[in-house]
Amino acid sequence: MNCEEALEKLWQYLDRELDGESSSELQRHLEECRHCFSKVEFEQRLRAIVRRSCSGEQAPAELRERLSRLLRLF
Amino acid sequence: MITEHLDGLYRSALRLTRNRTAAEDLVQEVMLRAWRSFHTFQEGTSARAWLHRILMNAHFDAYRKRTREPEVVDHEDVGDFYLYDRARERETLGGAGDPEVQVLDGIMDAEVRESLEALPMPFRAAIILADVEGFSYKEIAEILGVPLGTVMSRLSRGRHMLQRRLWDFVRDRHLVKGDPK
Repeated sequence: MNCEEALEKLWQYLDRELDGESSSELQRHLEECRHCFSKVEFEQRLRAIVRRSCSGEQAPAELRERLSRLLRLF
Repeated sequence: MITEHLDGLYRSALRLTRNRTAAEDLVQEVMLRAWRSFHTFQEGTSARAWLHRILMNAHFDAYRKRTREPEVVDHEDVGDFYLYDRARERETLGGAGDPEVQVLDGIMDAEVRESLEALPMPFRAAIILADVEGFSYKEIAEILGVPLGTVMSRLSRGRHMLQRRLWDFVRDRHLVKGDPK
């Protein structure tokens, strides 16, 4: 697999949507190619930052109470 | 079932509505709809995906009533590495170490949320479902009621737009501090 072929599949790889065979082919390429590896690493870290940024908030207590009051009505 | 997924639903609702009161109302609507259509939920399937489908439908119903924003046309795939490429172009941003690491370390959580909330709705919804909630392409296609190819192109385009906005934050902050060049 060359870089061009790898780039076509990188996003699907990052999204865990590649089948086993394509995934291991791409992994072999990443072991050999520092440029593609560095891109994948960057996107994985960015993805973790996006997830972290959006995972802190909790539903407010008032909302929980409102919902349980509603449930009791049913 | 709802209470188990309440925090996740509330967070997705916040990103969609950009407003705490509206997010709470949306989650309440999801609960009412889920309650009414519970008989259609199939045991053994993902409750989280089902609830997100209801969330998206409820949101799009309210959103269409409220706004007359023109439909966003799906562009062709971008498929680039915008932020990575910008980081490489700049080489170092003034300090020691990898430029990529400097860019990533400089991104603040509030900037990510603001950038995400600024995306046009179809792209924002796709990014929330994939990159925050971790649903598969197939699940997202079912949740949004669009073909798999549309999911992929919205993700590609949405990530490109998100990265452009994040880069604006990184660049602006750096310009304020003074460009070493």
